[in-house]
Amino acid sequence: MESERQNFEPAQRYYLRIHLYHRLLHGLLMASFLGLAATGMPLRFSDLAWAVGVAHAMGGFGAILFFHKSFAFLLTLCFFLHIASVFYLAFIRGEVGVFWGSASMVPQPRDFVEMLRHFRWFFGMGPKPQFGRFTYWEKFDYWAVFWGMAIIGITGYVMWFSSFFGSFLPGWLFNITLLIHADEALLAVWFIFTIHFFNSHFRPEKFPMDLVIFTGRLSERQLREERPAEYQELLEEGSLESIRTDSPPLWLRNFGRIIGFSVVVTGFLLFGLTLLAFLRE
Amino acid sequence: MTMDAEKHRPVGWLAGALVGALFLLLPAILPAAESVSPEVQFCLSCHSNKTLELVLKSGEKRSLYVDVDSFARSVHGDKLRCTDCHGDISTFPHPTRSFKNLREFTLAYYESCKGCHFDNYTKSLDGVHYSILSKGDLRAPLCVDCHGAHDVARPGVPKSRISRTCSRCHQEVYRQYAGSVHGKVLLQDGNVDAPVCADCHRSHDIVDPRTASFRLRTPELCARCHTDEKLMKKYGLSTKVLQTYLRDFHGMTSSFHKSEQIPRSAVTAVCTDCHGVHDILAVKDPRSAVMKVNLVKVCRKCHPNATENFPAAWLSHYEPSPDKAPLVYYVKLFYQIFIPFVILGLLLQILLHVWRVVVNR
Repeated sequence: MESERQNFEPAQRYYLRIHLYHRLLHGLLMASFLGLAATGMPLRFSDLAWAVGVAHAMGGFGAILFFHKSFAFLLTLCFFLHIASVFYLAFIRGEVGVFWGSASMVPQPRDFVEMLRHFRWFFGMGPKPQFGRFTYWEKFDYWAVFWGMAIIGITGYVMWFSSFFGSFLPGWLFNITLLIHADEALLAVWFIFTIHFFNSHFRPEKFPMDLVIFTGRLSERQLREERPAEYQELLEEGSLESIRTDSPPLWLRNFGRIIGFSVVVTGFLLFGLTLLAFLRE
Repeated sequence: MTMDAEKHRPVGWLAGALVGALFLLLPAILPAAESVSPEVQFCLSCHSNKTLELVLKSGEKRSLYVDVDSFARSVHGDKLRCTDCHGDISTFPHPTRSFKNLREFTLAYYESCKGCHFDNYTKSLDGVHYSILSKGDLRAPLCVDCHGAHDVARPGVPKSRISRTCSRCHQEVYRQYAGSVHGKVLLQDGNVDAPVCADCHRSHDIVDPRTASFRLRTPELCARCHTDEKLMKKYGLSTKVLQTYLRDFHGMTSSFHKSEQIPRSAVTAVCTDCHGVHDILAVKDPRSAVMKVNLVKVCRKCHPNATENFPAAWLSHYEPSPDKAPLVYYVKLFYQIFIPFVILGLLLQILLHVWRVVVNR
């Protein structure tokens, strides 16, 4: 089976790509984002039958607003846990590579070069670029979520505590906050439920599902083929052995599959419903 | 009604005449009563006596005089006989009935109307007036209190008659209504486009306007006229008022509450909270609560700490455009372009990637 070979190659050595902390944080991010989308979209398209149905199923619009705020709190927690870990790594552990370098999420000059080369490769005008630890579209994915959380989060809290913010912010700002919150959220939902899902499920080397975010482990073959620059760097540094780990256990792979597919199904359903609603607006 | 017979004092030349003779003579004597049936004329041989009255146990007096002209002019004049409503009195002398007071007398005939007007009778059972009656408040109006008894006329002719009927009990509300933009044009200019009480409150199945569900129905109630293109064009009023309201915080919240089968809360502003209820004024009226200078006072009814620039959160029912609320308009426009651009652009990158892999195979 293609998926079996991609996610489990017993003959291969395995290396740790994603730490447990980040996997857990991604789990929290995933749960809270899905919760926010499932409660927020019925609020945004509240005049549609499916929105009313979803709201009733959860105990009415008052109840879904309560759940929405609860998930918002969880996502905020997730946001700050991430910021804290970045600062811990950079300033306490002294790993400045978090902010700049080949292992950093910050766009590097080489990312722009790789993007151009990637497009040349699309049209058969050159070889496939040698990607490193993070590809340019993975960085875009990361920053899109980062940007989205900041924008949607701030506007959300302004509306949540409107009487407090209303005491010093001008009134017209509230119209903009509702608009930005609703539209930026729609963009976020569509981005995650199409682009992010396609990135980790539909790219040929990932199909039907990349389990790395659940197992955290990458086979030597995957590392060498998908991230040749990183592999090379690790080999030269001689640090490959330090990230060596066991092959992903069956329970973890199955856990990832169950969670992954449930989230994809829910996500596609929400994408379909909101797309139809948007086109009818 | 033997006791009444004693009080029956003969008047004029009609006094000693035989009942049979009267039966033949009456049509000639009372030309106005031509349209009433002979049976009615038979009863009128006694009940056209203005001094005929009944003294009740409470000491109150009930006149038993029936003005034949007003009955003949009533909607029932050519249709009903006395016994159609007074079914209990078909013989002479009348059977003895005793009533404690006037209200009990009226209540005794309460169900007379339902024989023909069953639909309206049934509707009234859902109404607030019946509800207070069933709780024992005998002041609640019965059919005849609004419609009259022998002089029943079409209730809406002229239209203002409806509101005047309600005003007999609801004087303060009527006073406010008469000064409102709706009341003024109807009562002073006779403009029948303006609503009367029953247009908003209905007539027989009047619900308690203090309930959450009635509050939440207010926008659709006002919208019945205020989204009518033809009607609003006559007065240069916008028909976007409902749509723009529903898109705003208050409107959205009201929709949320309304979608619940039993609204638990109605804590959101509906039309009447800002514009006023019975005392509603034209938005151009300087005294209007929603006039820009007055608006912050309206906001403070619910948002006590509202600052002077708080009302700017409200777009005054305008649809965002480059002229009105340009910032809202351009932010919206930005997202309408930005969202498809980002999604389609990134999708293209993925498709190109897949395409290249397929081509290379």
